[in-house]
Amino acid sequence: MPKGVLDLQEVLQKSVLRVIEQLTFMFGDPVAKEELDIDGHKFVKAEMTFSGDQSGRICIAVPFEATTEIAANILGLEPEDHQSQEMTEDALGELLNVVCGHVVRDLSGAGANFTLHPPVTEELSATDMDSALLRDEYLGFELEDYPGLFGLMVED
Amino acid sequence: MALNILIVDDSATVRAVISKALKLAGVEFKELYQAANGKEALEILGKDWIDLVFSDISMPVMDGEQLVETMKASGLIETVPVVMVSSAGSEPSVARLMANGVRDYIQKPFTPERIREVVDQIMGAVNHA
Repeated sequence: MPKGVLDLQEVLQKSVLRVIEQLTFMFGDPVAKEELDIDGHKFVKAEMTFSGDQSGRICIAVPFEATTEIAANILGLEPEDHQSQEMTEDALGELLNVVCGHVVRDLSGAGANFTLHPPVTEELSATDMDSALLRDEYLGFELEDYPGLFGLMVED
Repeated sequence: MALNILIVDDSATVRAVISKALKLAGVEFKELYQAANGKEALEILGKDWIDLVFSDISMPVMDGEQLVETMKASGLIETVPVVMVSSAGSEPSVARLMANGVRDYIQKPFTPERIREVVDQIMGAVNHA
């Protein structure tokens, strides 16, 4: 694995896990991708780009059930309260948006000039998920009991 | 004094979270207006009396910086205080916003106490001006 990718993953782990805990009160742990149990889950991916002193792309993929819990925790609802798929995907996008702000500041420094572009969410096919698992820029994690992936790609 | 507050964010989740934080913080409001971008916010500002605006920075159609520049050009920023609420606050961007008349900046994630502190500071200053 290239050293640059490894450094980015360290930043990502620290920023991602800290922000998720603050925003959703859900606890996450890094997990080797080969140990993730993704069978039987339908995944949703949120992705966004950033530009400025450093430019790149960041994404998160979690099971659909996790987005319901993330949205409920952010909004202060019970997970069994009805939420539209649009709202749960919006909450995942917002989570990524906050994570991205912290990651970019960690990467670029406090005085950096940068712009975050609005997140986009979509369902992730099993093929896309398998492909992401093989790529170095993706990091495995578990959020409570849910498997997930974070990806970070920074342009040179 | 019960306030008319405008929340500007493209995320319905964030609009709901700010609404909830205002209630939890015990901020008295008459009406909470919502807009998904700067353009929608300007339409509301043109029609209704707004006491305080909470706005995101990164939004499609018209972002927070464009909203603030437009409000500055029309002089509206002098009478309607604007607070930016964002995770995207790069220091140069925040400095530009403050130079254009933005009163304060709240970084996500935030607490109801932080919202209360900012409302008290700004509306206290407005009421005593």
